[in-house]
Amino acid sequence: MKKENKKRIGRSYWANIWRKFKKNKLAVFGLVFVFILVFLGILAPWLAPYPYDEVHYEAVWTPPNRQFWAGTDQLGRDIFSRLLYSLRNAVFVGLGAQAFITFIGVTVGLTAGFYGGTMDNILMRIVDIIYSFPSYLLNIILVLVLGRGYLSIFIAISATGWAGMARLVRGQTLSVKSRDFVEAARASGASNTRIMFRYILPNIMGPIIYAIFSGIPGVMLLESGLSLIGLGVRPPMPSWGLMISEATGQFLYNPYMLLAPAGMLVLTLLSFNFVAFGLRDALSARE
Amino acid sequence: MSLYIVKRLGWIVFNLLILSLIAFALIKSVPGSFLELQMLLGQAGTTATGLTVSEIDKIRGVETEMMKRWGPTVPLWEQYITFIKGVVTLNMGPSFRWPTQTIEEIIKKTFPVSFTVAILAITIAVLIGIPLGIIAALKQNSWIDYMVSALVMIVSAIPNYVMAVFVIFLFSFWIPILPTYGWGHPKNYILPVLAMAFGPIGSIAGYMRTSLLDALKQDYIRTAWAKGGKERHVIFGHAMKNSLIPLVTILGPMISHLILGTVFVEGMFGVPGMGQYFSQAANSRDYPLMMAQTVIFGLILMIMNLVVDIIYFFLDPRIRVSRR
Amino acid sequence: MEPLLNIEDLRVYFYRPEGVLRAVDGLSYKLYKGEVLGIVGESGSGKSVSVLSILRLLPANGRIVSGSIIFDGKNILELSKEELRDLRGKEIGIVFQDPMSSLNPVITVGQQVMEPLLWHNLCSKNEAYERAKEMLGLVGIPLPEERMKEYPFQFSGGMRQRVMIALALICRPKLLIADEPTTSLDVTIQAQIIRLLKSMKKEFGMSVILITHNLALTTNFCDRLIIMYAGNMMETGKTKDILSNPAHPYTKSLLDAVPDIEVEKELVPIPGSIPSLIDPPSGCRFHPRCSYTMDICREEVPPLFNIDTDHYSACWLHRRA
Repeated sequence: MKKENKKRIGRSYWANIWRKFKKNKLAVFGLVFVFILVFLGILAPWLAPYPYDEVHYEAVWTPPNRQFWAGTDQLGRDIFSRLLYSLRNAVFVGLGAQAFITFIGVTVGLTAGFYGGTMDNILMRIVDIIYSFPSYLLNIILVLVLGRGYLSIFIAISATGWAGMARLVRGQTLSVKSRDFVEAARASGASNTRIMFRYILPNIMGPIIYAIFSGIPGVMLLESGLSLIGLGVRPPMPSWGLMISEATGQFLYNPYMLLAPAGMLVLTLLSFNFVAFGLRDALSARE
Repeated sequence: MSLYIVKRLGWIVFNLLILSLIAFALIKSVPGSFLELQMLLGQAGTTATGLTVSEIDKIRGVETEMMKRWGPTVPLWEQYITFIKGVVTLNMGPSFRWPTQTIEEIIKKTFPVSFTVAILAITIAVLIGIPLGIIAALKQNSWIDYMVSALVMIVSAIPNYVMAVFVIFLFSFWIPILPTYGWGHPKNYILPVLAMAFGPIGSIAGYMRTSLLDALKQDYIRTAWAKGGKERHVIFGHAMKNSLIPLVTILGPMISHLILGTVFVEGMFGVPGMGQYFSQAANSRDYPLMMAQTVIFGLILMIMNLVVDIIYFFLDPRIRVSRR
Repeated sequence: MEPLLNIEDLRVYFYRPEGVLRAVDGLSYKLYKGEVLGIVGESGSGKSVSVLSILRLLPANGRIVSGSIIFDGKNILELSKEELRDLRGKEIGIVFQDPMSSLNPVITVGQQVMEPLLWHNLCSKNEAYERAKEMLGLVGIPLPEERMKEYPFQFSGGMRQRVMIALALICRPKLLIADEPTTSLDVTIQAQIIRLLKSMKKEFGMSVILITHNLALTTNFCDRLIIMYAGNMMETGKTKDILSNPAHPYTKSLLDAVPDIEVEKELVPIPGSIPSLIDPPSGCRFHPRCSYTMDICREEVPPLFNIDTDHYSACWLHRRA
């Protein structure tokens, strides 16, 4: 009798997804790596062997050795420490800006797709207007205007970024809206907000979560792009983009100057992408 | 349909006005920009051309032109009107950084370059990405699928400027067949296009794969099998139609990303395109050029988005029909 | 007379991470030309799975473990992919439960109805168009010419189901399988659909397998019935025999649970719930919920006892000494 009961206890929706996700080794690896990276990033000030701006003129362009684990750049600064601080930077901007983007984008997209009509028109007009702006250019301009601090980069990135999410969510809402269960919910007297958030939203979580996890790399890329052209966080505070731009001309003198930040950037992005793909597969597979 | 397009074009004009206002307002609010007009003019002009201020002024009447447009005596709203009129009539005055050239001259020679590179890149990405995604989806969990998925993921995680370096390294140093720098020959296009196409190939293939797999799990596919469909009927006749539609939704942002991404990548290859000019302008605070380029970029993006929307409109009957 | 469809000892299992789900565990029946067979049971009884197996349309983790399915002299389980494809849609048509998700939302209805003809190369595109139009009219869709160009979401639920029926029958198959065709529709529409099926049967003369959990729908349509429970057949026989003289306790309970508009009676639900098919009850699978359970019911699976002409029931109650 007891054995029968135990087998009866069905698996919850998310437990199922986790199980499928687990099967994808790459995705799990990615997730572990993401956690490690975030952890490292947060603890960077305590983990870095050297301050990121300390110069060692006697040891410029050294390849990795016991003293400088990833070598030094043209001013003799320890690349490894700078990598850690760049990681911290990236994590902060990536997670923060993406959260902001998601919150605004989902709310706007759901509302627009669900209500349709004038509300949809107005909201989508706003989205269209923002969406049609050349975002990178405005990001650059905003950074010039607001100065080169974290907050300004934060604002600059999320001010234009939420539009894409809103559009996606609206499209998904539209295709789910005509399904019978929505009509059923409406017929049973569910309030509009309830329908949106308890009925429609769970059914479109797949693309949304995927968008979040593939959005974070985008944000990080944007941040490093900004610093690549000299508009990221103020030097000497490092960022991968900055390190890459400094390294490009000197690729032949010390390839590690380029490989290290590029490699870290790619690894971080990869981990997030692995998780995103794993999530996507896990969410879309059917029993 | 044509009514829709006309409406959209109207909105584009509206959007551009708002964009120009925002860009203008933002740039004007940067502390101390136009007030140091003379100083900047002197600095930028002499650095760029090696000529002295008076020499430049003699050639082009640059200083007077600048004062007329952006000088501290001109009220803001008038500056804005001049700006708008300038963009529309393609008469925008000289650039700060390159005072011997007018902005419209710069744009006229750089726009085709960037645009060509971007279009080539997206075309290659679509031509390679979609079949790749389809193959991966159809041979799910085979080694081909894993390889493609892995490739896709790695490739889409490498930013185009890093890809640029690798591509340069590979094809210019290791196997010295392609030129790194320089312009004028079709050969020069290959490396930049390659570097910029890699990311989109990854995204498109990955999205295509997921989208197709999603579609194949649907009930209507079972119906198609039940009707006696061959592989090509079910997969290409039915599933593909459903899976291409969501793909179009990512095409828009991808194209925008590509076109805007030129800002970061062109510098590496010495591609004389709008992107490179913008990033240099940003660094040297060349505001008139930046403002004009912002509006022009905006126009390009808006037209591209309209095109994508029209395509989506034709593809998805649910949206097409419910508009009636 | 040779049966059109002969199923013997069919076993269909699903391989889940929790265990092996025995959806159909030893099912055998025959279907003759021109017959209407109703398969009745609760959800999870295996009725849908059994007919999906006929066309080998099971999901990826399902497997036909043993048994044989002989259709028109050919063993379906041994057919090549191409031969199977030839059967599907042409010799055997199937109507699914949910017409909204079973129709492709981005392809016109007309196209979807034409496809069985085109895919089997039965006629030209023009002729297929005409035939599809005709078929839509036959199934009761007004203004077929215009509606052909429309998309599934522009149709109501009942209309969509008619479309499904149209595309299932357009090649004049020998067998039509209707898998719970009315379950997702309103009650008033349900009757319409059954009536439509009846008239189609009259028009084309094919055999029909109707799957439903609602016994009431079978009364005027099905010639014979199979009552299924938890993957096994409990009772089978002519419809009127079963309805007037149910032999199996499960069938009796089913009838007791159905409201009757003429006679006022107490509705008696069946106690307990459907057993797990991963770890089914020993012996007769219905024994935990049966009011007549005996010791042997727990130990051995009852065979089909012949109660009357063409009336069988798998219950130990029928055993004589």
